[in-house]
Amino acid sequence: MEDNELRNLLKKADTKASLEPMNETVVAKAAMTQRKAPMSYRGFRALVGSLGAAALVVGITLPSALQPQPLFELASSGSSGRDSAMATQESSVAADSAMIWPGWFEYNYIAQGLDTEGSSGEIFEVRKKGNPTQILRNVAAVFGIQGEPKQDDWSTAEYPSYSISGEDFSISIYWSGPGGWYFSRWNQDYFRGCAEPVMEEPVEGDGETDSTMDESYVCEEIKPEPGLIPSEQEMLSQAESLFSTLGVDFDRALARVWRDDWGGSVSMPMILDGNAIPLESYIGWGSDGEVSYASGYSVEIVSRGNFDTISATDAVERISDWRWYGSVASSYYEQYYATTAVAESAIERDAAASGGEDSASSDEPMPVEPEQPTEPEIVDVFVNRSETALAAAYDGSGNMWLVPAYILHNDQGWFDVIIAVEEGVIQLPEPYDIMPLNDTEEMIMPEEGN
Amino acid sequence: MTAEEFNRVYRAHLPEITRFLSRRLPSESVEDIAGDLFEIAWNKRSSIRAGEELPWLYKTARYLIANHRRKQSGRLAIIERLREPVAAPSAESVALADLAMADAWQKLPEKEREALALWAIEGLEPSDIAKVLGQSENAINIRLSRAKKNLLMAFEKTGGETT
Repeated sequence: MEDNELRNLLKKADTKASLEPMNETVVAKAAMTQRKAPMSYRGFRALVGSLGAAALVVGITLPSALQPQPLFELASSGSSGRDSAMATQESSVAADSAMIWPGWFEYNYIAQGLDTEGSSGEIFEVRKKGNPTQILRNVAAVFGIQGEPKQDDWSTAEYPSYSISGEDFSISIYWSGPGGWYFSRWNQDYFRGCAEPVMEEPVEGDGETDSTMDESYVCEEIKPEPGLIPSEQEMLSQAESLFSTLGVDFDRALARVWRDDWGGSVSMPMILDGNAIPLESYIGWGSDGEVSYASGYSVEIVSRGNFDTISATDAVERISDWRWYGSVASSYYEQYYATTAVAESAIERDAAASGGEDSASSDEPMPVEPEQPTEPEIVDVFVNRSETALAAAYDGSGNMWLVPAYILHNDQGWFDVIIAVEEGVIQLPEPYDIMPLNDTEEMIMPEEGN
Repeated sequence: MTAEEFNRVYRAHLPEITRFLSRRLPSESVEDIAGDLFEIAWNKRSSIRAGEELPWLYKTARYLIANHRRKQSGRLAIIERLREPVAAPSAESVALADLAMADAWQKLPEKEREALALWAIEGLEPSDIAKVLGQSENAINIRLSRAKKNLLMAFEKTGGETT
C-alpha cells in the first residue's frame, strides 16, 4: 500500500473529520488580557453538579453522623455518554481490544465463590516531597545534563510543570499527583540511516501536494547492534547505582529487567509493607547502549489510618460503576499479559495445527456494519477469584492515594481493580449516566453532523 | 502582535484544533481546554515563531490534554501504568470508525500511534511533527516509517483490506 493510500484510509476512518469548528470567540476571549472566565453555563452546571455530588455524600453519611467526614473526594471523570462508556471499558484490562462503539456488549458481573466477609485496610496519602526545580537539577546532574529548569508553557498554578530541554534531551517534572519526573535522551547519530528528505517544491494551488510529499521519506533500514546494549546483569548494576544516586530504593530481587536487540530497561516498583505499589521508577537503554530514558517520583507515603472494607462478593457489584476503579502495580498487568500471550500463542498453534480453512475463517472480521445501530449483547461474566492489593486513586485536586482494593479475576480471562473501602470513607464524584444505546444515536453513529 | 492580529492568525487554526481536541477529549471538555490553550498562546505570543503557530498549538494542547487526564479519576491511571514512560505524556487515543483499522491501531506502540495520528489524521508533515513532539525530523521519519509498516502488517492480520 502506498503512503497516500494509508493516509487516506486513516483519514476516512477518522470519526471527527467533518466536525464543525468551535465558536470563534474562544480565540477572541484569549486575547482579552487577564481573562477571568465568567461563570459560564458549563461552570454553573458543574457547580450544580458538585452540589448534587455533595448532597449524595450527605445522603450516605447522615445515618451515621458520628462517622468521620470522607477522607478525600475521588476525582470526577468529566465524562458522559459515549466517552464515559469508552473510558469505563478502558479501565479494565480488556482495554487493549478497545471497541469503538460501546454498548455492543453489556457485561453482567456475577460473584462466584468469593469471600462474603468484609475486613479492614490502611489508606495512605502519597505526598509530593521536595522542590520540583531542585529535583530536576539533581536528575540533570545524575545524567550529566547542563541547563536550568524553566516553567513550561503549559504549566498552570494547579498543575505546575518544569523542564530542562536541549537538542537531544529533555527532563520534565509534573508537580501534581505523585510528582513524576521524566528524562529522555536521543542519540542523533543513531538516525544516520535516514537521509535528509528530498522535498518537492509545493505547487501553487495543488491541493494534492500534501498527500504525495511523504514518498521521499524512505529511511535506510537500520540493523540492530545488540552488542552495544548492556547485558541484563550490567543493566541491573547500572540501575542500582543510578537509582541509588536518585534516591530510589532498589532491590535486585524485585527489579524487573527487559532486553532485546534494540534496547533494554530496568523497572523498580516502590514497595510498601512488602508489596509493590503503583509507583514505579524506570531506566531504559537505547540501541546505542546509552541510557535513553528514566523516570521516577519524589514522594512520601503517609498513613491515614485503618478503614473497614467490604467483602469481595460485594465489591463485584461495584465493577459496573467506574467511580470505584483503581489501578495496581504494573507487575499485576504484566502477569495478565504474559498469560494472555501464552493463551494466544496456544490458540494460534491449535489453529495452525487444525488446518487452513478453520483458522482462516476465524480471522475474518466480524460481520458488523458500524454505521448501523446494533442491539447490545449481554455477556455474563463470572468473577471467581479475588486478591487484595493497594490501588492508586486520585482525588479532585490530582493528589494520589493508596487505598485497599480487590483485584477481581473473572472467567473471561481478565480482571478489574475495585476499591474496597466502605461507602462514606471516600467521597465519590457525581455519577454519570451512560445513556442506553437505543436512546441515543450519538453513541453509536459516526460523528457526521454531530 | 495585536489582539486583532492574534485573533486573525489563531482563528484560522480553529478547525484543526477543534478536531485535534475532539479526537482526544470528552466533548464537554473541548471548549474549556481550547480556552486554556489560546490563553497560553496569547500570553506566549511573542515567543511563538510566525508560521509555526499550529505545531505550537498541537504541542501545547498535548500537555493540556495530559494534565486534564491526570485530573481524571484513577481509572485512567491504569492506562498510564501500562505505558512506557516518555518525556511527555502522550495524548493519543483517537477513535477510528474502521474496526479492522481500529484494532490494528490499538496494536501499535503509543509513540508510533502518536506520530502516525499527527501525520495521517492531523495532516502534519514530519518537520512539523518533529516540532510537536520535540524530536529530530530524522527520528520522526524513522518512527513514521516503522509505524506505517507495523500498522499495515497489523491491519492485514486483522482482516483489513489494503487494496
